[in-house]
Order: sequence, then structure tokens, then C-alpha cells
Amino acid sequence: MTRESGAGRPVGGRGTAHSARRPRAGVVATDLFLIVVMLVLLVLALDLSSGTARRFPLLAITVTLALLALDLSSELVPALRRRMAVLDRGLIEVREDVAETAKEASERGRTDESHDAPRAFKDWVVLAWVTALGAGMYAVGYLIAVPVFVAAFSIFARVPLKVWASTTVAIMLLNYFVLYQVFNLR
Amino acid sequence: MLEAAGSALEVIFTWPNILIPLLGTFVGLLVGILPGLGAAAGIALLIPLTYSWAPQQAFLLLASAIGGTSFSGSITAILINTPGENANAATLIDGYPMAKQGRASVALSLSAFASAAGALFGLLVLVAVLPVGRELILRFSYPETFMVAVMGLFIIALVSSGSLLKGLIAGGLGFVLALVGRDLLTGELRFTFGSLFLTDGIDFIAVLIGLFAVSEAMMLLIDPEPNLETEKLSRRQHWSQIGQGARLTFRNPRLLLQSSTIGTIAGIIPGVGGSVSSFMAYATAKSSLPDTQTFGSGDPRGVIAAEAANDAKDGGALIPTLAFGLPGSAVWAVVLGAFLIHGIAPGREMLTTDLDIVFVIIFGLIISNVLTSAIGLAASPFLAPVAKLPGTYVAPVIFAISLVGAYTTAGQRGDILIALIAGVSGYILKKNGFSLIPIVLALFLGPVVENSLGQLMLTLGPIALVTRPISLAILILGLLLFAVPLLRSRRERRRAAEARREQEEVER
Repeated sequence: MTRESGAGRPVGGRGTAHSARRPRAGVVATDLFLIVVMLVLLVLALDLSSGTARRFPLLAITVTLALLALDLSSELVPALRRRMAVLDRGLIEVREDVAETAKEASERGRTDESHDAPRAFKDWVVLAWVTALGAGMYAVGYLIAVPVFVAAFSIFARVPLKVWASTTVAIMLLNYFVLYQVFNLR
Repeated sequence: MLEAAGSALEVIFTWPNILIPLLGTFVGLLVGILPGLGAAAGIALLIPLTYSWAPQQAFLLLASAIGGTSFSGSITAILINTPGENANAATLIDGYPMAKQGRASVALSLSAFASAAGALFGLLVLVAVLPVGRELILRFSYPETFMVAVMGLFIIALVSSGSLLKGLIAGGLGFVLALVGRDLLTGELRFTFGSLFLTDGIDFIAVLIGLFAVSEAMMLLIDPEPNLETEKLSRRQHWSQIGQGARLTFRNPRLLLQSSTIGTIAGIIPGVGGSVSSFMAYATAKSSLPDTQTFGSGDPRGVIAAEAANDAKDGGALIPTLAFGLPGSAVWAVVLGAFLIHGIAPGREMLTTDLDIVFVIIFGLIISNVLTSAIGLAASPFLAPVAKLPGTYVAPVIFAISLVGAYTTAGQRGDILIALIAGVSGYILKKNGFSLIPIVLALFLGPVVENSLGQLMLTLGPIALVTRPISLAILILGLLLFAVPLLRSRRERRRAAEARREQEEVER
């Protein structure tokens, strides 16, 4: 199954089972969170002094809120969920085709030995690493933080020495010569 | 006119000027590949180098650098789901899935040929339209700008793969993000929470980088997936894929022409067109071609549409820039600054006494587009395997380049945080079936819609939207773009239901 660029694959990529499933916790939580954010912004928008400055935010936030409410209801109410699934059917069928192709490819034993079992990390681990990179860039600047991050993460992820060493050196050279020297990014 | 063209060619093909397009193309390639370092920023950095140069040499360098950025931005979009430029975001919708399916060389080849063809088309139109360009551009005002932006809203619905509702929600989120900062009409601050950094709004590029690059790198690590076609390709197979890409490109002449035309026309509209041209062409292709269910899952036609329009827009964008000094996109706004530095005034003078410079720019763009495509194709056997590297190899590099790229845009550390937040949000939204493309489109279109609507209300009134012919035509086109796929899918569903009924009757 391919990951759709820019668009998310539905959770679990379970295709037409969508309408029959129980409400998905992730979708419900996301919708609820976004609804709360929109409500806060709505209150802030109502506080704006100028009518002109208020008009567009009120419109955009209200419409988004309505859409979020509809999405949440379609997740919680089975009858509505089935109706929404009709709208998405075309794409789900395509995804199933692609998933089928993947299955066939793996059945034919056409997987490269290095990609047999791609290593998966817990989301909080990845999040911690990315946050550390961001914090490092704030604290010591990108020239130091970036190569240190690439090397440290690669060691943590058990990337072969040759690969991580060459990647780190390449990133270091790119940052120093191109960004720091040529483009004067300080 | 011919005399000016001859004079421009003479300038280009003399020593050492012949090296300038090579230098420009190289810089353009580099700028295009590095996410965050947009074409406008890259070109701005080149201008000081040209202070002491003759104007012809200076604009040959700038034009070839601009030509180099358009295609190279699609290389990273296809290989690692990271658009080098915002306009390349449309390329990744189908380009990246193609790379994941082991067809990276086909996608790169499609992109190279379509962008070269689109650029040539746009520049030919420019040459043809230059004498009458003034009349055309004078007809564009707030209603037309507003309508183009509204058409972008229709496009949101069309390009949002997956759930239509979630696509629209994502568009709404983009609009809300675009509201942050100072309201341009009243000067009032909105949703800045007292932060000085947010006064000028959320940086578009930082969000783009976060949504696509950071979230994709997270996905690679957290939710890795096996490649569909992971068989190692020999050099010969790579070249065969490239040939396949070339054949596919030229087997779709209608699509190529349609997308290039859209790109050129969109590029003409000052300030708006350039960035949405590839999305417009993509959406039009999706609604006008048969069997478009595969769009978004690695359909070569999606890559052709986006790339042809993306490169054709430069020809269109040059028309208002040269004729009026109204830049068609950010990068041409920077070139406008270079005109002033070199004592050249856009407008009548530019199209009469300085016509040789216009042709230097046109030839510079043509040369660099051909060069970039050739370099891209030659390098594709080495580039394509990048799409198949394990996530643990690629992800740290994407994280590093992305966050540095976000910082590069304006040199503000706050943009690193914006990219991080956008990345994590993008990951969560993707996991839950939301499309990210509408966020980007709405983020860009939000201020355009709001400002043009505000100006429209203050000046011509909303009635101008339907009384002005160009505005009305854009509205009708937008409605058609939206309605045609819906009607078609309804008809297909009805047909499928009838076929099922007949089948059941036969079985009975």
C-alpha cells in the first residue's frame, strides 16, 4: 500500500470497511481538539474591534467549525458515516487496488533484502528527537546542531557506520560552504 | 523585434557570456533543491554579484537561475515528498507515489519533459503576446483577482484526495492560519497572542516545509512501509523508464497544451497566478480527463499537468512584469528590483529600446529549462534510488534540511518552531485521513481572498464580479471545474448500479 502524498491514508487503510467500523479514536480526538481550538479563536475573533477585521475570520472559523462538527457526527453516527463513505468510495477503491498490487508484489518475493522489515519507532521517540534538533538549533545554531543530530540519530537508529559518517560529513559541508559561506546564513 | 532577438543571441553566444547560463542553471538547481531557500530568496542573493555587470549579462544570469529552480524543485517533491518551491507541491501528489512504486525515473522524466515543454510554450506565448499584453493586463482588477482566488477554493475540493469533507476542513484550517498577523486593511492584530514574531503572519514556507517534509520524515520512521517495487533497477532499466516518461509526456499532447495554457494564463495574473497555476492545471486535468480515479495514487498525467503549468507560468508572469512593472510572482518582484538597480524601467521603454534585454531573459529561460531537464535526466539513475532508501537513512537528513530550510527563509528562529508544529500537526492530520494540500492552498489564498474582497467592496462593489466579462468567465470555469467531476462520478455510479442489477437478473 502506498502512502498518499499530502493526503493521509485512512487509519489502518482498511478501505470499504470504513462505514462498518466503530468510531476511530484518533479522528474523534483530532476533531474534538480542532473544535476547541476553533471555539477559542471564535471568541478572540468576536473581540476584534473593527468590523472589517472581524468579517473574514468569523466566516472562515464558523464554516470550519460547521465542517468539523459534521465530520465528528459522521464519525459517531453510523448512518451518517455510511452516507459520507459514498462520497469517498472512488478513492477507497483505488487504495484497495494499490494495496492489492503491494500484496501481489510481496507474494512474488520481490522485496529487497534491505527493506524486508523496515524499522518502526514509537511516535514519542521521533517527536523527542525532532524537538531536540529544534532546541539544539535554537541553543547552539544549525552549524553545530544539525551534524550532531544526524550522527546521533543515525547511531541510535543503528544505521551502518559508513552511511551515517558520510551523511554527517555531507550535511556539514553543505551547511558550512553553501548556507554559511555562500548564502551568508548566520 | 527580430533584430533585438538576434542581438540577444549574439550577447549570449560570445565568450565568456556563454558560461553565464551554466552558472545560473547550477545556482537555480541548488536553490530549487534546497527546501525553504525559495527562488525569490536565491535570486535576491545573486543580484549583488551583478552590480558591476552589463545589464544583458546580469539578466542572463538571473533568468537562467529562475529557469533552473522550477524543475529542480520537483526532484525533491518526487523523491522525498518535499517540494523545493511551493508551486512544486502539486507535483508531489502523484510524483511521490510513483517514486514509492519504483517508478521514480519515470516520474522524473515526466517532470523534465513536461516542464521543458511547458516553459517553451509559455515563452512562445510571451513573444506572441508582448505587443498586445498591455491591453490584456489592464483588464485585470480586484474582481478578477478575487475570482481567481475563489477558483482556488473550488480547486481545494478537487485536489483533496480522500474524504471531500476532510479536504474542506483542511482548507478551513489553512484559511484560519492565514488570518494570523496584521489585517492589511485595518492594521488590527489578529490571533498573535501578543507575540511580535507573529505580527507579520505565519511564514508560508515554514508551514509548507513542516507539513510535507517534517511530517513525511516522521511517517517514514513511525509508520514505515515496504516498497511496492523494490527490485533493483539496472542502468538500462533506468533509461528505459526515462524513455517511458518521455513517451507518456508526448502521448498526452492535449493535456500538455491544456496545462501549459492554464499555467501561462495564471502566470499573467499579478501576485496570484504563479503559485496556484500548477494546482489549477492539476484540478482541471482531474476533472476533464477520463479515468481519473488513479489521480493522487501515482498517475503520470498528474505529474505532467502540474509540471507543464508550473514552468509555463514564467512566460505568463513575464508579461505584466515587463509591460507594467507588475510582478506575476515573488521571484519576478525581485527581478523588478534588479531592473531598477540596472537603470531599466519596465513598460514602454522596456518593450522598445530595451527589447534586446527582454530576449536575453527569454533565451536565458529557454536555455536553463533545457539544461536543467537534461541534467535532471542524466542524474536520475543516481537520484532515483533515494526514494527506496530505508527511512532511518533518509529521515534524519530530511529533518535537518527541513528545519535549516525553515530558518533560511527569513533567518528567524521562530520559523523552526513553526515548521516543527506544522510537521507534528501534519503527521497527526495525515494519520487521521486529512489531506494536507488544501491547507497550503488556503494558507496562500486566504490573504488574497480577504484583501481583494475588501478592496472590491470599497471600490467597485460585489456586482462587478458578474458584470465584468473576465471575472464572470473565471467564475463559470470554477463552477464547471467543481461540477463536472461530481456529475461524472454520479453518472458512473448510476451505470455501475445498472450493470450490477443486470448481472443479478442474468444470474437469477
